[in-house]
Amino acid sequence: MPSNLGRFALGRRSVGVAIFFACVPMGCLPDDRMKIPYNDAPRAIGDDWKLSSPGAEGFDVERLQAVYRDFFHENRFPTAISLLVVRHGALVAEGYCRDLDDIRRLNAIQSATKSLTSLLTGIAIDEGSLEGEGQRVHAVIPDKFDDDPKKRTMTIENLLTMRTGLDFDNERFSIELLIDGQQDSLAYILDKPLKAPPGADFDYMDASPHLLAGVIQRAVGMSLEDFARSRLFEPLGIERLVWETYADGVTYGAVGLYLVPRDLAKIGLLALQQGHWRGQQLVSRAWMERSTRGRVDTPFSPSIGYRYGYYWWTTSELGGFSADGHGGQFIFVVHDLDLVVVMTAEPHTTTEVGAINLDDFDGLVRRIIGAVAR
Amino acid sequence: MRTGDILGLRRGSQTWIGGFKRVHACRLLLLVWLAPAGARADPGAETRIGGDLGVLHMQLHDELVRGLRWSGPGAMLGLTLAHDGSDDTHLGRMRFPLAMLGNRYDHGGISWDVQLDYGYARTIVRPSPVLQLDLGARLRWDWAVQYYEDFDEEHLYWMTAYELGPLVALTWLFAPSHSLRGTLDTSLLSLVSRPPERRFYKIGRLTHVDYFFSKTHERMRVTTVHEHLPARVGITYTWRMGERARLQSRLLADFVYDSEPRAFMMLAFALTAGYAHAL
Repeated sequence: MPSNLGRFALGRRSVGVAIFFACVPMGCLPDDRMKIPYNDAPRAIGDDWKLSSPGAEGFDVERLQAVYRDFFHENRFPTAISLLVVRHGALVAEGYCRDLDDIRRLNAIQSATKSLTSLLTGIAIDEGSLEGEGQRVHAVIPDKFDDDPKKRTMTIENLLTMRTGLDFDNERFSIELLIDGQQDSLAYILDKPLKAPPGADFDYMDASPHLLAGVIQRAVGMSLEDFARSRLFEPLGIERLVWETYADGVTYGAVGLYLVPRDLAKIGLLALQQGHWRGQQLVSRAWMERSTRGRVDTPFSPSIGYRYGYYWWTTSELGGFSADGHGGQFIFVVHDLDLVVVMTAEPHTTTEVGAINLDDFDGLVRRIIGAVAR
Repeated sequence: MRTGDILGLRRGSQTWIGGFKRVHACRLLLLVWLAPAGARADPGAETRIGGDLGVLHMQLHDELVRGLRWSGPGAMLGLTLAHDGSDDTHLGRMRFPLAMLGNRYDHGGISWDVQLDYGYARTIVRPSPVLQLDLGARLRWDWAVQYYEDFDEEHLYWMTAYELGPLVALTWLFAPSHSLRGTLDTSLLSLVSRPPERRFYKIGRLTHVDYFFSKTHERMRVTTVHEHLPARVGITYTWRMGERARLQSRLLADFVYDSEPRAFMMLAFALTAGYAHAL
């Protein structure tokens, strides 16, 4: 090695290079806060919501604000977007921790979409388009079935309670549906073999509500989205939404619905009011009672003991039921307290790290229930 | 980052470039004084092909992802084809940086990048036998794709840019077989694609093999430094081991800022080592 190279390598310049690289991991680019400053007061934005305040609707203000302060804490629910509390039909508290403009921003409600599919199933039954949840799926979409006679015993209730018996890996085949762009999504699902008789075992899968969407579409003669717009969204005053449709024209009944938080709260209020909305019975009371009753034990969230109804999660302990979407999209309804709690969050976080799960939300709801003073 | 901060940064960069011109003469004098006698900055024309491998540290700040800082280590593979003439240089290069990222909540992410560029520079001044200053232009395709697996498992994020801008290089032959070459380039005219601010699933549309490529080239826009500002600095040490063998080590600092639809910044430092063979 030439002597002058050696001087270069060992001289002051090399010290500079070393310092330079030592500083690199310390970080130079901005690392923004996840939460904006605290806000919890419902804002008048010209919609049809009745606005109120915690004190006026029977809350212990301090205790409810403590919940909201926790919600706005940088390291609690970091992926959260909104938290809304509705009581006695009025918006009592409303906080947006990511961006105040999220009040008007559509957000994927993920699997909370299934609860909407449940409401629409009830409407289709109420109208007589479907005979009832005991009706066989084969009776409505016979052309989608293969020759397996056992599959033909599958009922609409089996779909509603995730007990189809189909050997459908929710992770694998849902992705396969997306990637491969199946010609016929319903036939693709029904082509999977049975691993148990229909009605036997709970097995949570997006395929069930997707099949049900196809069943409803065939029965009512229009897409699930159009059916929802005419029977549900228009009466509720929900105008801005996106509901994605599979390439073969079947509205995705499992996920794919995007709503603003206040409209998600309207769905909760409709459920709280047993399907009644401003003088109209949009969904029959009988359906609301049947669909929100816990019917099946599930392996999810064993610590808080939720059961599954017709695409609603139910808890007898809190006396309520919930729509639950991946990432932290929730509607929680408590009849006895005339209460609805809605949360939205970043919708595409993973369960392992980022997502707000039902256990987390359950804890928040318990504190909100605890803040009800009368 | 707010617009004002970005403007400040840009002004800062321009000031630095202007300052470079002002102190240019002083630095050249210093380097000439430091250079060993007898070395030449122009050791003769040659064409080289080479490759290098190195480590890097990357930081990303994308306000589409809540403005978090994502950072982490990675690796980079590079391939080069270069021709040094008596008064000019052609350099074609491919680089493939890959970094494993994380944020302060331990959400994981990954960034992979394909960079293809071609640079041409002419020697404009040789203030001493061991120094030369080149000025030219560089055309670059930078296809930087990020996947934040824990924060957004449904979508890709990207910064795809075709860039054209000036290149300045200073070569110092500080010993008969050893040289240092510092380069700085930016882009004045860019064609850029970034993700839209709001995206839906588009269920059932992932049907094309070229999906990732086509998706990351949607909504291309023509822009310049007020919206898209890259600044890339490199220092390359070359040891002419023999008639044809060249050992090289590079220290690279890449910075990219893009303002649309929301601010994106990437800062990467890399240290590589490689071999080039004179043809």
